[in-house]
Amino acid sequence: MNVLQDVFTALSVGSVYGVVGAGYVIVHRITGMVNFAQGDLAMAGAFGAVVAASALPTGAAMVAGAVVGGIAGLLLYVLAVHPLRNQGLLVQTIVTLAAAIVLRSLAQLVFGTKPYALDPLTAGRPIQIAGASLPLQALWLVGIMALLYVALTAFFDRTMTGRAMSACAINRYAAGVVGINVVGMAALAFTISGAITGLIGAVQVPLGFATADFGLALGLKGFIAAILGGFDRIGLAMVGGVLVGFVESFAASTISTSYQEVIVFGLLLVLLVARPGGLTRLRVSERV
Amino acid sequence: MSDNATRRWPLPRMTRTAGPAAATVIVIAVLPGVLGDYYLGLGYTIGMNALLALGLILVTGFAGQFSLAQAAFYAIGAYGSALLTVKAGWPAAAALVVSALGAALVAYALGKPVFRLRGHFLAMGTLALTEIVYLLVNNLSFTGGSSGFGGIMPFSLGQVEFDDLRSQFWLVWSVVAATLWASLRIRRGREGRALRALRSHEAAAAACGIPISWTKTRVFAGSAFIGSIAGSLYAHQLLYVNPPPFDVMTSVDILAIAVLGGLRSPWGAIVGAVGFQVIRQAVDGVLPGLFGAGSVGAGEELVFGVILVLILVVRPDGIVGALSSLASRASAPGGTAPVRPAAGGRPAPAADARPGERVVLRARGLSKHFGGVRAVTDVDLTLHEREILAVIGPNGAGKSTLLNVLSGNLPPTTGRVELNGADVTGARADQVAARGLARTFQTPSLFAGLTVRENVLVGGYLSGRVGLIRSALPTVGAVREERRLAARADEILAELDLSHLAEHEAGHLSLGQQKMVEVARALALNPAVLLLDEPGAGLNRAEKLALAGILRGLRARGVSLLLIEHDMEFVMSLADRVHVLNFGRTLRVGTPAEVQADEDVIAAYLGTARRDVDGDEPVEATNARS
Amino acid sequence: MPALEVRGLSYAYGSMKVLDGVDFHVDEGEIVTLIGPNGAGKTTLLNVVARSLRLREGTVHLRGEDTGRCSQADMVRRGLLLVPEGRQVFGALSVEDNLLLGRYVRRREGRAGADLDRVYRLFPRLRERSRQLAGTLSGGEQQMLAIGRAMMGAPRVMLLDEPSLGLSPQMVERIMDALSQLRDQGVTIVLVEQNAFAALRLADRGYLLQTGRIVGSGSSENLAHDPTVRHVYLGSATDEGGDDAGSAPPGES
Repeated sequence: MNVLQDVFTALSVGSVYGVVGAGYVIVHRITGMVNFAQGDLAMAGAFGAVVAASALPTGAAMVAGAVVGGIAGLLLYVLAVHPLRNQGLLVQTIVTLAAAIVLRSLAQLVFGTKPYALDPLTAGRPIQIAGASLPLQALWLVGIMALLYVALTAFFDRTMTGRAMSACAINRYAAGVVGINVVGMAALAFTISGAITGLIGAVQVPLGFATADFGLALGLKGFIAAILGGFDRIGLAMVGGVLVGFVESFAASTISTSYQEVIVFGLLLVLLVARPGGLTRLRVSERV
Repeated sequence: MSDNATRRWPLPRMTRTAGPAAATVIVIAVLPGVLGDYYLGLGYTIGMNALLALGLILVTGFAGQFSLAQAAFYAIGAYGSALLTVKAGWPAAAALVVSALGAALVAYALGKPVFRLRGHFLAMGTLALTEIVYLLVNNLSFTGGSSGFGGIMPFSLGQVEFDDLRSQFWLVWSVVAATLWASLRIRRGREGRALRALRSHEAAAAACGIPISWTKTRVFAGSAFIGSIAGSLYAHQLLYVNPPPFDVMTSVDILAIAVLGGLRSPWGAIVGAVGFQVIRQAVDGVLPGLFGAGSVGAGEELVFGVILVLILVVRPDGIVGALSSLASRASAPGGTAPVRPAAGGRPAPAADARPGERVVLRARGLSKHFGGVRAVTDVDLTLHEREILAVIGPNGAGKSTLLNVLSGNLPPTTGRVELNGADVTGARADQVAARGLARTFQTPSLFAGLTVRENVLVGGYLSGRVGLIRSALPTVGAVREERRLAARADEILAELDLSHLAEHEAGHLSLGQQKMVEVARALALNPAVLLLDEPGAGLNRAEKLALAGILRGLRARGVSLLLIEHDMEFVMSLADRVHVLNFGRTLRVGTPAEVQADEDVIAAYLGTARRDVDGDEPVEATNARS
Repeated sequence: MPALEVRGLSYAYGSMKVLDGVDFHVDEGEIVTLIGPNGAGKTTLLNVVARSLRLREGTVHLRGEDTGRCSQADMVRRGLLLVPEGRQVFGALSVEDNLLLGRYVRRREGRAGADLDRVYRLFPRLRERSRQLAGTLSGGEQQMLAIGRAMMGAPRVMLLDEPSLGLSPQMVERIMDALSQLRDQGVTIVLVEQNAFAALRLADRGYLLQTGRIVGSGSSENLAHDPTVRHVYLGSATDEGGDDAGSAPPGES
C-alpha cells in the first residue's frame, strides 16, 4: 500500500471529478437545477477530441473537445431545458436525464463500446517519487483544473458578463431589473459548464480513455464533488473532487478495486444522509 | 355558460375503480387461453414493466418525488427470493414477502433523511443506490458475481405451482391488476389526496396536518415493496438471476414508461408499458438494417431517450394525460365556475358573540430574524376565545412573518408560542394543525388538480385514520370513514354556500370563490383558532361583505380568529381588537376606534404631516415643499 | 408629449385581478406619486411598466414611443429604470460592484468613473462604504444603493417602489431630498408610496390607487388636503364623503 501513489491517482482522477463538480455548481447557481447530463458532456468532449485528433495535433484536438462540450451544453439548454421552464424543476431535471441517455446511446451507436485513446500532450516517462509514479498527463490535468479555477474566478469576479451571471445567481429579479438577460445567462451557464467539462474529459483521454458510457459514473462522482462544494463554491467542488478521487484510490488499494465504486457511491449516500452541505457551512435541509 | 349540472359520466363512485379494474381482470383471464406463446411472453414482459412502473408512479407521479431506484428494488426482490429459496430453502411466498419488506426498509432508511432535502438530492441518491446494488450483486460471490446463479424453482403458493408461461402470465397480471386497483383506490382515498396535496402545495398541505416527510417516506417504501415483488416474480419465471437486468438503464426505462403513459394516473403504467413494448419491437425491427446487428441496445436507448425528451417538452402528462384532458374537455362543466351572488352563508346565531376571557393563543417575546433582517422583534400577542383580532401595520411591518411563526411554517428565533395552554414553540406546521390551529394563505393555496370537495376533504385529514394500506382495501372501517369525511365536507360546503362548486376543479374558480374554499378547507380541521392571511385581498366589495358575515358566524360558533388585513374598513368593522405592528415590533394594541385615532399609528401609515419628526396633530397635511 | 404615458393597464395573477384599467402620465421633469394602501396594486403597476412582469393589457408610451414589444432590458436601454420594492440589492457583492452592475447595459460606453462619481456625490455615505458587502448595509443605505444603481443606468425616467419602506423618518427625509436633487438634474420620477404625506410633500402631482383603480388625482397640495386619502387608508368612520369607493356604515363591534 503506497499512500503517495494513492495521492497521485487522486490528483489525477480527482481533477476530472472536480471540474465536473464545478460544472454542476455553475449550472445550479445560475438556474437552480441539477444537470444530469453533466458527466456525458465530458464524454462528448472526450470524443470530440478523439475525432478532431485525426486532423489536428493533440492539444488543438483537446480544445476542440472543449468546444464540442460547450455546444452540447448549449443545445441541451435550448432544446430541452428552456422549453420546460414553466413546468417546474422536477420535469427539467428529468429531461436532462433523458438528454444524458440520448448522448450516451448516440455515442455508443457511432463509436461502439471500445475505448479510444489519444497521445498524451507531452511525451515522456512518468515521474517516479518514492516508488509512486505520476504520469505527465496527470500534471496537465491538475494544472488545467487549477487554471480553470483561476479563469472562472476571474471571469465571475472581474468581467462584466461574469459578474452579471453571478448577479443572476444572487438575485434573479434584481438582475432583470438592471437589464441583464437572465435567459441568456442561463444558456451561457450551460455552455460554460459544458465547455469546461468537455475540456477535462478530453484531457483525461490519454490516461482514462474515452468510452461511450463513462458519463454515468463520472456524473455521479462529479455530483459528490458538487455536494462537497455545497453546490455553491467552485473551488470547494474542485477540492471535493480530489477528495472523492482519494477515497476511490484509497479504497481500491486497501480493500479491492472491484468495490472502489461501491464505496464512493456509498459516500454519496452518507453525505446525503448526514451532511448535505458538504464542506461548506450552508444549511441545505428545508423545513418539512 | 349555464348553471347546469355537470355532464360527467354518471357512474356511482365505487364502479369507477372497480369497473375498469374488473375489466382488466377479465381480459387477463381470457387472454392466456387465446394467445400463443410468443405473445404470452410479450404480455408477460409488459406486465412486469407495468408493475415496476406502478411503483414508480406512486412515488414520482403521486408524491412528485423523482426516484431512480426501481431497479435497485427489483434487484433486491429477485436476488432476495433467489437466495432465500435456493440457498436457505424457504418457501417462495415467504421469500417474496421478506424480500419486499427488506426493500421497503432500505427505502425507508434512505428516504427519511433525504426527503428533507430538495428533489434533485433524492434523484441522485436513488441513482447511486441503484448503482451500488448493481455493483454489489455483480461482485459479491454469494450472489454469483457477474454470472449470477440458477436453480430457482417456479413460484408456488401452497400446492399451486406456476411453472408454465400461461400461469406465470396470469400471476403477473393478477398482481398488476391488484396493484392497479389498490393504486386507484389509494388515489381516491385519504392518503392519495394527501399525496396529491403535498405535490401541489407543500406548505398548505402541512397546514392541513399532513406530515410531509413521513408521508413521502411511506409512499417511497410502498414503491420499493412493489418493485421488489416484481423482482421476485421475475426470478421465479426465469429461474435464473444475473446482474444485467438490474442496472441503471432499467430504472430509466421504467421512468420512460411512466412518463410515456402519464405519471399522474396508475393507468399510465399499463398504457406506457404497452407503448414501450410496441416502440421497442418497431425499433428492433428497423435498427439492424440501419446500423448493423450490434446497434440494437444503444439504438433502443437512443430512441427512448429522444421520445422521453419529446414527451416531456410536448406533453408532460403523457398519453393518459392527453386522453383525459380530451375527455374532460368533452364532458366538463363548461368554462369557469358559475358565479352566484354571494349570500354570506346562513345567518350566525346571535347568541353570545362576545369575546371570552380565556386566552387561546399567546405569543411571548416572539422574534424572527433572517440573517441580518429582523422581521419580527419581541412581540407579545394574545388572542382570546371568540375574539376577532386584526393584525395590521404598514408594508414590511412583519405581519406575514408573525403569522408564519404562529402557524409553525417558520420556526421562531426566540420566544414562546402557546396554543390552548400547550407550548407549541418550534413545532412544525402539521403538528400545530393537529393541536387545533388552521390557517389560510395570502396567495390562493388550493390544491390544483383536486376538486373543491377534495380540497375540503384534505382539510379533514386529521379526522381520519386510514393510511396507505387501508386506503387500498375497501374494509368496512375505511369505507365508513370515507363516507363520514365526505358528509362533513358537504356540510361545510353547504354552510358556506359552495355546494354548487363541489365538483369543479379548484384551479378554475374565481379568486373570491377560491378564498371561500380555503376557509372551508380550514374549517374541516375543526379548529379552535383560525389564522387568515389577507383574506380580503383581491375581493370586491360584495365578496368582502360575505366573507365578513362568515367570519362573524365562525366567531359565534366558538372559533377564535386572527387576521392580517390591509383593507381598513373591512378590519375596523369586523375586529374586536387590533394589534398594530411597525418595523417588526408592537406599536399599539386596542379597539379599532382607539387605534384609528392613535397618532403613532396614523404616522406609521401615512407619514407625519409636518417636516419635523415630533408628529403633531395631523388633521391636515401642509405641503411644505421648497 | 409626456415622458411616460400609461393607458388602460390591467393585470391579473391567474384569477386575481390586481390592476383594472389604470391611466396615468408623467411629464418631463415632474415628480408624480402614486399613493394608496397595500393591496392597491402599486408594485404590480411599476413591475409591469418596467417589464419585470409581462405587459398583457394596456399601453405604455415612453416619450411618445410605444414600448409594447420591449423587454425589461430594452426598457433599461431606453432610460426607464426601476428601483424595486425592498431594495433588492445584490447582497453578496460590494457596493461598488452593485453600482457597476447598474451600468450593465451601458458597459461599453466608456469608463464608469464619471457615473460612479455622480452617485457618490449624491450619497457620500456610499463612497465610504464602497467596498462593503451590500447585504451588510443598513436599510437606508441599501435604499441609497438601489437608487444609485438605477442612476448608473443613466435614467430619464426613474420608477421607485416604496423607498420609504422600513426606514426611519429622518432617513425618509434624506431619501426624498436626494430624489428632489435628481429631479433637478433632469430625471423624471414616478414615486409609489404607502407613506402618503412624505410622497405628497415631494411630488408635483399625485394619483390615488385603490384595489387596482385610480380613484383620485390632482396636484399634491390638493390631494394632501383630501379627506378621501385618509379614508382610503384607514377607513375612518368619521368621513363625511360618501364617495363611490363605498363607505361602510359604522361597523358593529
